[in-house]
Amino acid sequence: MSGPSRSSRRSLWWLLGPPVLFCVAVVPANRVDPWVLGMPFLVFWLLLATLLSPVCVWLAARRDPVWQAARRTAPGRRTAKAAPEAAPTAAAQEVDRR
Amino acid sequence: MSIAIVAVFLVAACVLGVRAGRGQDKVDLAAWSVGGRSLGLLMTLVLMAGETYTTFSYLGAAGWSYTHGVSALYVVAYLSIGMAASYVVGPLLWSYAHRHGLHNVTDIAAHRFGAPWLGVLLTVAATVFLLPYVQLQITGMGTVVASVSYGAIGLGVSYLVAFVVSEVFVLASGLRGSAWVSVLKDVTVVVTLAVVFVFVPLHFFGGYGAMFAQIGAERAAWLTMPGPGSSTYGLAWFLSTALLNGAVYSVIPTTVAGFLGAASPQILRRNALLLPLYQVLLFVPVILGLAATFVVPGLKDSNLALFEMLRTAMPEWLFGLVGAAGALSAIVPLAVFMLAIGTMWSRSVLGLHARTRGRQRQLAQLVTLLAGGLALGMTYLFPNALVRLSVISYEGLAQLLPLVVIALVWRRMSLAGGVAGLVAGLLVVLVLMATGNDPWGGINAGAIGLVLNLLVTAAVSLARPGAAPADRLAAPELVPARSGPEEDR
Repeated sequence: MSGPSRSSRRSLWWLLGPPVLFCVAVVPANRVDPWVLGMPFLVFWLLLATLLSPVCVWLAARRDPVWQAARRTAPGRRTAKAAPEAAPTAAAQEVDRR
Repeated sequence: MSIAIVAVFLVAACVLGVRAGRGQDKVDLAAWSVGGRSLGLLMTLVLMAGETYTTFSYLGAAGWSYTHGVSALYVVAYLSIGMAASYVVGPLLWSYAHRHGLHNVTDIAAHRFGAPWLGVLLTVAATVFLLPYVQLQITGMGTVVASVSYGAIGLGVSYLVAFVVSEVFVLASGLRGSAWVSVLKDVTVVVTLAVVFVFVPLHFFGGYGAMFAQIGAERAAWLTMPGPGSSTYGLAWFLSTALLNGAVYSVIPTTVAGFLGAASPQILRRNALLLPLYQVLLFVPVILGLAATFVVPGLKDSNLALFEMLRTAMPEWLFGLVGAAGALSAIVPLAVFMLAIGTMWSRSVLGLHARTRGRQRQLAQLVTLLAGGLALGMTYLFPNALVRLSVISYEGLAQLLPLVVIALVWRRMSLAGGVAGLVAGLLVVLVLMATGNDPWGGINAGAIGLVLNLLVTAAVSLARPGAAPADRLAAPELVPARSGPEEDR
């Protein structure tokens, strides 16, 4: 493995977010009270962790040079400065080219 | 009425799946096994969702929480972890397979070590651990259809229908056909789960607040781990299972088939970002499983919790729609499981010989048919044998992780090390299961096996290091040049 791949993909540490949310934080979260949004605490916590997991992946991707390079060369993408939240919609258009 | 709706959806699945294969290359194995490596983001997402959310989402998850409480949400935990890991592992496997024209985990490992016999060994192991899942989908389908037809259609006929429908479109169109059927499946599943999630609290409890209040007052033990009555599924089990299954998610042969079907590695990264959101849906059967403890208490088969609850109250047509979603949840994973088994046998065992190499596609389709037939036969003859094995499916498949993934990034990992680790890991899992010690001290036996597997792999590889040439390793994804070679497609 040569090149700058290791050192500059530091943002991938964010991918440890889901295991931390589900496997470390769940220990103190394993309780019924307090109820949040009408849900017992453990259920609420697991729902929150489920919603935060894709956020962790997004944080990892956002500063990942491999992700950025692929965005620049992706078909139909002209500028490197496309708004990040436009990615899913734009990507959805590249449906299944036959 | 309700069964007619299910029938309509099954026919639609066949038509959609078979049509997806029109114009497909009829000779090339890759066109069938990995959809010509051409699926876009949407199809990849739908396919991966389709094969991940099996009948377990409809039957098992509700049944689990009905019996053991919210530890059922371990599924959500491991899928979230696994999908985050797939951000890295997916592109890694994709690039290696793409560069060398490979089709699944067994030929990836065999190619990495230049050892065809390793492919044979892994194919046999993976088949043993995947077949139970094939059978689980068949029995799941039987349960759904029998329930939805109000007992008019027996289990035996339902099993056969599941087998026939999934074989029809997977043989005709392969992975692409499965992706198209997944479109139908996902739409049906999302809509029906949403409807059910509104219907049950309103109809039986008068609202969410009332439902949760009653659960909190009378089923408090269900709301934390380890849950009521038993200490089997405690915190340690939850943590170790979430980590283990999360690590394994990316080497399950069906997941890998989905990875390799993608048109580019960037699609897999986007998939890793978007797919986890789908898991919010899994909270529905888990919460409704708790509600079912009030509506249909004392069920012998807890897998029926959701369907029995709905059957008593829903209009027939709506219940039929739920049944259709349940049936499709069996059919799609069933097809992809069989396809993965067929692909592995063709690539790593039957198609190795110079004489058979040109017929890999037909061989893969033949094994796909045989594997399904075998599971169907087992369902009729020994309904419990494979189900017992399915408990350790993930734990067994986990032991492939070092040989398939770590080998691609660790140059000095040796074949002897990897195989010694595999054998050690499998032995631990089998012994712990056979002696009734899974979980062992509260910890998932597969996790214990994998730790030992990694230690043995590392120890033997350090003692007798291998030296893989550069082309047998994953290429660095970030190269100093402006764009990576794989990215510019």
